[in-house]
Amino acid sequence: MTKEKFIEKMADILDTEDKIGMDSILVDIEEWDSLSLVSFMALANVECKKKLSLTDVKQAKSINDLYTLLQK
Amino acid sequence: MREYKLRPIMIKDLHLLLQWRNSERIHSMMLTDHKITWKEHLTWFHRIETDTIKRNFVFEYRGCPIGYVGYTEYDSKRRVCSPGAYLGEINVPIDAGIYLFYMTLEYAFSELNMCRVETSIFKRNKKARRINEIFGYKVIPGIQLNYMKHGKREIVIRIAMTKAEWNTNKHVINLEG
Repeated sequence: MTKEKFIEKMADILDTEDKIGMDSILVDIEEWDSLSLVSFMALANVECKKKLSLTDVKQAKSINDLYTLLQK
Repeated sequence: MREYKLRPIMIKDLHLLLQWRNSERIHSMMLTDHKITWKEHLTWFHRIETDTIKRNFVFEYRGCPIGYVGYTEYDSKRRVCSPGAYLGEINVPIDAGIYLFYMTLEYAFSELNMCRVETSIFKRNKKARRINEIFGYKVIPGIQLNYMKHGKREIVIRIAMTKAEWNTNKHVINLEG
């Protein structure tokens, strides 16, 4: 998945009107919550065939960190 | 997962539960537009206290109450009920909602031995709809109800999931890792 496509998907998951980018910090995004986290994990599973661990996802600090998890 | 647990509601929880239930954040997601009075709350508690099968719980994180889980529309013959849950506290670990969701459904199917769960949800609640779909809920076609919230018309949809669907979909998310 390209970075552009990933940002598009994350904007949809977060359901935010704020602009997000690869450098966006997760704790600064009000909409980054439990539900968004699950949706991201499902996206990884369904679209990238990656079954990520909750521990790894919880350790991510930025949108870029989430993207990196998908590339591993 | 061990840090989270469900326990039956006790009288000492009542003030906190009512505070959560009537907070704008929770109230805005409830179908009823009415704020629960203390008298109604106490009557409800005395009714559920006598339930032989416990269907109302406090959701705890490391021994602290952070949310509520309840099962309504309980039909033991058809083995169908309607689960409902919310996080009352805001400052909770980011995975609290996932465990709340997971444990609510696991209890319904494993402990209450339901074969199907059904629930109602505001159509506008996109995030909740998405997580419900991830774990296997499906929209029941043809059921759309109108509710009034704060004088505004809201569309409510009905979603359902069978035990088989839950057993297939609950592994979508790796909660143990």
